[in-house]
Amino acid sequence: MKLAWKIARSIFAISLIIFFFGPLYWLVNTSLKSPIELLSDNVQLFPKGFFFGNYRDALDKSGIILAFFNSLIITSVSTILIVMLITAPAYYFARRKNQLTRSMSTWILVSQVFPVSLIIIPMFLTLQKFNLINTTWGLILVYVVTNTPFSLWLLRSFIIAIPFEIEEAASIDGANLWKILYRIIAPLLMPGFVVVTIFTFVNVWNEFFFALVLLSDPEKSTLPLKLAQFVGAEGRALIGTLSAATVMSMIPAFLMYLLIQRKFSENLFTGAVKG
Amino acid sequence: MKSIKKPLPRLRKASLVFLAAFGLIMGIGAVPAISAVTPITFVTPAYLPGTVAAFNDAVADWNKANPNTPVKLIPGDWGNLGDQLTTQFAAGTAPDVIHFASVDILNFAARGYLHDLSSSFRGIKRNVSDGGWQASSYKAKLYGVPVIDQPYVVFVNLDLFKKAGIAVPTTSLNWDELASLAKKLTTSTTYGLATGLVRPATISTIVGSNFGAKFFVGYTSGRAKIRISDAELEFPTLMHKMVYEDKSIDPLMLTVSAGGSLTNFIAGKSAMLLMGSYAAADLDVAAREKGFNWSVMPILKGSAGSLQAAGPQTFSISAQSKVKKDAARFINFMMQDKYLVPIALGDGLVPMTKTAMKAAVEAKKGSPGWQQIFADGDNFMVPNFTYVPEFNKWKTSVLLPALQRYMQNRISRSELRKSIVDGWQTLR
Repeated sequence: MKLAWKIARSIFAISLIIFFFGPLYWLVNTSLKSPIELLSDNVQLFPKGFFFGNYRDALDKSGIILAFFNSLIITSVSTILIVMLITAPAYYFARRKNQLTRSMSTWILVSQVFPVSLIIIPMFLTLQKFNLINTTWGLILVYVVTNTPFSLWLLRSFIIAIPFEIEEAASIDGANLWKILYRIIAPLLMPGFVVVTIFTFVNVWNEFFFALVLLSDPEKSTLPLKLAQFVGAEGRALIGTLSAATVMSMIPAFLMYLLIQRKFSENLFTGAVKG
Repeated sequence: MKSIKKPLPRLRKASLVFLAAFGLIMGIGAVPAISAVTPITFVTPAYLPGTVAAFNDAVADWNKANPNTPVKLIPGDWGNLGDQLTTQFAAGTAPDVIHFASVDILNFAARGYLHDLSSSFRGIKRNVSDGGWQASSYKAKLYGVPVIDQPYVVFVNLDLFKKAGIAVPTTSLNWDELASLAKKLTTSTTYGLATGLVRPATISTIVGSNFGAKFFVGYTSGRAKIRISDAELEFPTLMHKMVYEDKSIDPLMLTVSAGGSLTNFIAGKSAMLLMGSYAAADLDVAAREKGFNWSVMPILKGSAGSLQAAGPQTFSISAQSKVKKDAARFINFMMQDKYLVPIALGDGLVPMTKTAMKAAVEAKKGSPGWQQIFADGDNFMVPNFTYVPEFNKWKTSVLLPALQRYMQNRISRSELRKSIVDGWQTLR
């Protein structure tokens, strides 16, 4: 019985690995295939040789390096701004129960249901009035505004999980509200910051539609816009180049996760209240 | 308590670094671009290397010859250019020159977003096929200069024909003759015909013109009425028969797009391939790399002839543009044969001007397949449905799912007809 359970568990684990890593493997595999291999209808688990021409094409001709740096700046600035902006409000929403926090919490949830296509034209016109169309700052502003509500909601739930007794103890020791927030809550909130950072970073890094509509200058293009330019009409695409460019575009998000997840697991199980 | 004291200095340091970076980027972003001239903005969704290079060359030549009216090339993408333009037109920030497709620009023309090009391009009218010209016009005004288009053609695997002892037809076959030829070419290891049937709506409307398919009547009065007769169902019915009765089309084709049918054809699993001419560019690669022998049959003809619905790619000028004259000069410049030919060949399409077509024929004189594509590319006509508002919406949300159910044998022909008609009424 024990053996059967072990086998079942292993099969499940292997299935999960295939499920999650299969598409990633296929992407890398495709990016290393030559043009003629890409025209083959045989399933090839491994490329016949390592053909790096797709990577060369993606880097040479498409302005993808500039788009990479644009994306990196926009994503980093947006993420940092969001994390900075939401900490105090999230604390307030978590710790104060009154009519204002209740209605604002509801509004945050309701604001998530509006489809992008509904808000894009008014948003465009508003940004235009402030000369923010086709600017990096206009796009950052949009990302901060659109990602703040959910991130705030997310961080709030982490603050709620922190025992209130810690704050009471700090308060008795003479700490004011700011000291409690930045010296007591903020360090304990590290897992929350990590989750919000990863969530926002990946969201902004992958965002396509706002960038498409708000940026027209090719020098300001972000990576998702560049990737879309490898796809033609009627399902045609430069599959090899697209795969290579996609592999490269995943690296920052992947590194970000690798760097930050150690912090996440370090802090996740740290007990705040002992005894 | 160590962990409580530590973060503050770190936080301060991080904040300072962030503020410095923030200020730097803000400063860079706030500096306005200093430019003596306002460029003509030109958006294009071209993405294939040959075509992109041709556009870059043309723009570089223009900018060299016209330093006071330079063109700025803005790459777009086919899947999203419509959404992008919709917002930009609404906000008054659309690019001056737009490279797009006739079926899309006519919707913008109807809403007054495009400049009437009739007078600026009267000179090249004689050089462009009637079908292409009409397909880019709305209420007798030209809104897009037709550039390139693709005919649907039948590619043949010369080796499989030879093996079967069947000669490649040198005159136009009708669709029934194609079906019986496919049957003859079907063996235990190969099918007669490959064609991607996972999304059969576009091809059904384009080659439907062979059978006189109109889909709509009364479109000129602005109150289009759907009409689904036998002509409109002729193409899907034949494909259905070839899959289920003749078994000359691999059922796998029901699950693949045009790209999937192309790889099937190159693998030698089907003797013929019905597809847009753009496959020729990939077949050239297959010929070069693995000696694949291909050619093209003369264009097919139906009960109403061999004309196919035109849907050319076009150059348009935004009605909001402040440099319309210069934009028109630039389009005229781009319409020269030396630019149109590489643009067309890079995409595997045919140029829409007669002189560029001649030059393309000359450029590809060593390839019988390409020669036949150019010959087939003279068979375009204006489909009525181009002028029906919401045609595209109907095609994707009503016609496509209905055809998919029919091709999967889940509904009958009469149910297909009912589904298409009812879907249009619901859509309205």
